[in-house]
Amino acid sequence: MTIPLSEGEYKVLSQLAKLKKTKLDELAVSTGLPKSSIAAYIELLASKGLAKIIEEKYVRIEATEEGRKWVDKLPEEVLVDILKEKTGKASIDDVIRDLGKDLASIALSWARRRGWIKIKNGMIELVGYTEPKEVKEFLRKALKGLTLRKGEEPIDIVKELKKRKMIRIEELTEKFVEITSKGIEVLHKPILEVSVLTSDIIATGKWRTIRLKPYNVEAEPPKVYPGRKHFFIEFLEEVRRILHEMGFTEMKSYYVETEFWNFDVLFQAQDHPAREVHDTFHLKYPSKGSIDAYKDIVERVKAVHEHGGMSGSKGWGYKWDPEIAKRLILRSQTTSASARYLYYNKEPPVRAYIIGKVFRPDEISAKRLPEFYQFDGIVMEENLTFRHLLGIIREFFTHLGIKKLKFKPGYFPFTEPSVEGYVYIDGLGWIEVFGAGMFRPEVLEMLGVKHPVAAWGMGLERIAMAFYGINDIRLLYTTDLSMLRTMKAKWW
Amino acid sequence: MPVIRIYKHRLDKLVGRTLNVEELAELLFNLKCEVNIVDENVLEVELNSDRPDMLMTEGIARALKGLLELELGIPEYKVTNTDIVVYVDPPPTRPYIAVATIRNVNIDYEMLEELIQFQEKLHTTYGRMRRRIAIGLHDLDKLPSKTLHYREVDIDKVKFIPLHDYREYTAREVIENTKQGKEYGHISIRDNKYHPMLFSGDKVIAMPPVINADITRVEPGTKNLLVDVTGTDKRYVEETIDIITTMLAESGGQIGRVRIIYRGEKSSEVYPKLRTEVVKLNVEYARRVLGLDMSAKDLKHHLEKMRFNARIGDGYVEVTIPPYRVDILHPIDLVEDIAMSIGYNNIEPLLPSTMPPTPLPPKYRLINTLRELLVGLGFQELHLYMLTSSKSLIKIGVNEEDIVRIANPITEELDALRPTMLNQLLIALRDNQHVDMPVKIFSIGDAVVVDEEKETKTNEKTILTIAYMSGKASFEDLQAPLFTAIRLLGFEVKTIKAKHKLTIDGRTASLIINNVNRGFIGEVKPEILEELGIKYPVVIGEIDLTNLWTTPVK
Repeated sequence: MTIPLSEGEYKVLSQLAKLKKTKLDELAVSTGLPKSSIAAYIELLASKGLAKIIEEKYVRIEATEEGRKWVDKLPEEVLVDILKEKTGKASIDDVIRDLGKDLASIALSWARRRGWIKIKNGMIELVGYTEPKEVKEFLRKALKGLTLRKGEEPIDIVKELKKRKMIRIEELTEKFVEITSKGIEVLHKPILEVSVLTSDIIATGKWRTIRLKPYNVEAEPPKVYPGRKHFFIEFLEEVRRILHEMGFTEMKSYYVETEFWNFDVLFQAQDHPAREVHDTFHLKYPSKGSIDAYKDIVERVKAVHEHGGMSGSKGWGYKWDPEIAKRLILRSQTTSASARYLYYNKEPPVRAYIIGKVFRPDEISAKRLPEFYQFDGIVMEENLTFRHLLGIIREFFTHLGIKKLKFKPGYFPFTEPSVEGYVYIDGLGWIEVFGAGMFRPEVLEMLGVKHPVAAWGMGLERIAMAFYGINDIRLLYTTDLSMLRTMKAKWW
Repeated sequence: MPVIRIYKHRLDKLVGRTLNVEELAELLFNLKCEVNIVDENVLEVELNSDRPDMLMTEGIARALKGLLELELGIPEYKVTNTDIVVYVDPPPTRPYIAVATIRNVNIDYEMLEELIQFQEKLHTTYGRMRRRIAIGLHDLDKLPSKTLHYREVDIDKVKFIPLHDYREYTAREVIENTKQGKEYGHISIRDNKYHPMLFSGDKVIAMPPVINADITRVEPGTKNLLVDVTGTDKRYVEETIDIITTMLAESGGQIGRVRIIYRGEKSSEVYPKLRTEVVKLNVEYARRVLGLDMSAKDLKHHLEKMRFNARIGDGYVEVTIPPYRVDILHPIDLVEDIAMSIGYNNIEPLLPSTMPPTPLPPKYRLINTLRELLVGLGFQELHLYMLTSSKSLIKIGVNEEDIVRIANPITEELDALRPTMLNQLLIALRDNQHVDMPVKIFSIGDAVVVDEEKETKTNEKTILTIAYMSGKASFEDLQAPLFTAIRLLGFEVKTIKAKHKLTIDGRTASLIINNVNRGFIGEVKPEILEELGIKYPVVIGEIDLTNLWTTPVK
């Protein structure tokens, strides 16, 4: 028989074995546990049949003032004495005269009940007398008060004395606990139940004698949070991984860039609206950079802007100003990186990309932020055509799991033919995500590149938002841990 | 990009065919336009800024007729001479002017609405907010005299009633007191005293580029127009008068030439010139760019659909470019039009030759491994703005001369490029005091500091910023995971006693990685926590990771 015991139960039960039958108070004292815990343990032990709770009833009997008065001689005995003096006979009137009416009536009543007297024609005759020793003895004990197990008290005596208001009776109940034979048996070879399995329990071998308390395994556990990578950075890294898989190399430009590399080399005229304060962050400090290291290209940029240079173009027909080109801005497009890269890498094949922050003075809203990630890519090959541009973009989106693409003719100052691309995302429909084109002859001439270059740029936020089902761009920057900790992991 | 509202029934009438809106949207999509259907009769069309000739229904209809093959090649416009003469004494701030007339345009309310819209859109895009060019439209029949003068005037000495007004103003009052004057009065004024003015006889009819006079106001019912274009660049002035006159001639108007006579010069100009340009498009070139096998005949057909005239030569197509196609700078622009005529979505994409995969650069291998380790150590990664507030940077002790600052920030809160992420991380902690503790966060990203030596006057670095906040947070709570992560990356790390403006003396250390001091960690000073409103202790650290990926690993 294996009935497991918690440590508390074990302690109480073993104490109970020593004390045999005991009261809870005593148990509390001898175990040192609080009385409330004792009561709970006893309930548990009793429910397992290891202990028995015994309720015993008692009567407490005490003599009243009336009882005290008649302890030596009961009123009927007084009557007997009177009758003895008068040779065994007396009239009722005489007795009333001697004892008073009330007492005489009690004495007469009880003497007759005991069969000591006969009454005839107003005369009382003593017919016998035996001392009611038992009654008087009981009353005497009741003077000090006495407690008797209920049912063990002399019923007739108690009844009589109670009726005669010589005693008062109080009923009492007392709880006792007693170990059962099953209890003794379990205690002989105890199985302890513990809630925490400690290393100590395992190391000491104590586990052999214990049982692990079952948990409520169906209850909701407390919340815990893992450290997590940021979902948007994960998305950017996924894009980067795809590009390296497709044979691309990373290229670089600077967050703070000269207008020269951000605009001029990209054939954006110096009065182009995109260069103005509405579309570009200009710098207060530092405000002017250097293009001294690029004398050859600066010359070609001037020629191409002014009259087309050697590119076969008309150019923009204005006077190009190197001072404007030196102004520092926060780069508004990562195409500046493509320009810088091609300047140093003029021979095919080239496949290069950048994923980088660009900045534009847009108010913060659910749709726009003043900074976003742009992904620019270029491909240069000997016989590269516009169809290849469409092909490589389609391949990139296939890697990303997007199959439906739509192309619209577009306009960018640095590409021709230019294309704006839309992708189809289930549940969202067509969204415009990229701009692309073949670098214009003017741009290639400025950079000194002799081969066709396909180029594209796209903001990555919109695609990421479509992927993660987010409709407010600001959430990509949230620092709210309650969201970041509980956001669903995108694994599908 | 400009968005214009057009009336569909006008478009249908001009095209000569009722188009359903879906068909129309599809056609315009292939002409670089996005169409938003407002209602049955009103469309919003978003155009690309390279096509000022499409900023009005007339221009869109012209292009559509080509695409639908209803008309091919360059339209023919009736041009006659007029006896209007403009004498020009070129104002130094705005020396060029071109004037022309259009007869029989019969302006109704809807056309007037579009005409004004056209003028405004052209001003903002092609006209560079009226700096480069500005247009004035006049009712030809209200012209006081056929002799016009364009010259500079003393702004206190000339008076006129501006358009839609009834009071007479001096030119100065127009500049100083009217909405238009305040907006555009600064563009062509000289010495705060002289401004270009166009007279008809002795009456002012325009104060370019600010406002016209009311005297020649165009209104519904106006039949004949006079158009003036003024500007700072002769080429754009001439192109604009071509664009606007050919546009209006699409509704059946006749273009009238106006002679411009420059004072003191014997030469004169007649506008509009409607000069076409002839370009030879090499067939092989077009084929090579697009990757499509096309014959000279194919090219001719597509070019005519795009409303160029084309003549087949030997290995080339001779293309005549209409005067309003100002976007054609180079034969490549014709190639794009050919692609548009074919339809971009009819061009089959082709894969270039494949390239072997390239390895991920060491920078990202290191950063991604570090992110992995920190996440494994229970830290949550954050993604933060690169723009930040210079004020909050200075508050945490960054030197002002290290901070890149924006001249035109959208808000004071985002007026600098971050040189550190400490301030942003502290704010993130402040905002996360209600969540279950501990809060363990980090971010890895680029930061920029001023560096006069560099061509861009800045230096970029890659940093890790990391923090630990909880009811009880101490130095070791951050030191321990950082030591683990750095050592697992294969570097040696130790801390040595240091001081930092942000952290408590005696609880701050420099982080030495492979014998290079790369940052610090420390417990944030209570006074800083209190100022930020953070009620929990915080341990924070920042490490410069730049080029750590080129450091030898043990």
